[in-house]
Amino acid sequence: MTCMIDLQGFTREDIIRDRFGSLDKDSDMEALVSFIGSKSNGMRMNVPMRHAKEYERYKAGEYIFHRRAGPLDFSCATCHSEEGKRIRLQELPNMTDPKQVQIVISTGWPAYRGTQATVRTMQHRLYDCNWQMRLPDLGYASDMSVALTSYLNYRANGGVIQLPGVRR
Amino acid sequence: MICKKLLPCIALGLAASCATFPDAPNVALSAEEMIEAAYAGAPDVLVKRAVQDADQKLCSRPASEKLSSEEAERVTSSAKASMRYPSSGKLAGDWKAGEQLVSNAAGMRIRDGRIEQVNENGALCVNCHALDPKDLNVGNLGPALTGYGAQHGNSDAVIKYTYEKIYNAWAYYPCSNMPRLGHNGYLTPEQIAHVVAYPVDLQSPVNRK
Repeated sequence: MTCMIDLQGFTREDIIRDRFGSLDKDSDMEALVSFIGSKSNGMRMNVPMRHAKEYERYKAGEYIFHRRAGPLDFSCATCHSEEGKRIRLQELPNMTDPKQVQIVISTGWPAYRGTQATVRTMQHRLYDCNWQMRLPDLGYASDMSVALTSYLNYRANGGVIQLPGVRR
Repeated sequence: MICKKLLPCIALGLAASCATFPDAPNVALSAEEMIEAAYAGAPDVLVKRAVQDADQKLCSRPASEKLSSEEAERVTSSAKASMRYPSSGKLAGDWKAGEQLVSNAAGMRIRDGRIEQVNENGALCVNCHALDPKDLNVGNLGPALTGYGAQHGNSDAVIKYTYEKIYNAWAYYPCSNMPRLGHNGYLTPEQIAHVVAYPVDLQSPVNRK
């Protein structure tokens, strides 16, 4: 997004308006993320952790993952830190298990979501979890979403990338 | 002190010896700023939902970091102090009304800065608990409650425990995954009484053989 805004002349508002597609209109951002993600197919996840800022963002993501809030007292960890759990019949990945993080991140998102009849990105996955948690709309590409993604992606290192995925 | 300089510390990766950088208060500070910014633009009343109360803060640690017994006591005593009951004094209502609520998972969701309107908030129970043995579309984040009344009976003590467990689970299990449905104002005391009746009432499908 930085390149699109600084070099290509897109406005942040334009990008955000187009962030998620609908049945009537596909999203350029969802298409772009899928295209770029697929360019790493066959490679292993290899998120660097060399800069202090990278590590700070990772630690913030870890904090946010466990932070309970809202009228249902949920954190990410409430649903995603135990083995073999489901909400109704929907299986929940255990994101404290390194193997499952690898699978979710390197073969999971972006993914074609059957329930949404389109390809969704990790940004949408986090937005949707946040909606279920009864929290306000998660800002697109917000630092909070990037911190959570950094926390998950770094821990997925070693996973073989195969994107886009297919999800419910 | 190993981590005097930044770069060697990072080079050590996420080893425990580097737990001091960045330290926990600074992590919390920067993460809280990110959270505030992520929700900026939403109406204040909705943004407030993301602000933690003291008990949510205590309950936000990774599973590996257990509460001290004083902390657990603080959570349970504040949960006990939060209890409110229906004005009728009846803690078990109508199981048929409860049946409608237990499989309803809607309510209080926010989309585009507005609360999605519903007739009433659902009680979400089957998302996590098995109840009616014939209903297979149930979650397992919480324990199965099939046969609950047949097993535990329907004494006043069982009814009071069940009511309080739903109103504020943290009174019995500090930092349980279960939402504090009554305390948080998600369900009314009258709704909770109906939900209580569903597992407890011996006529309910939960207790059929």
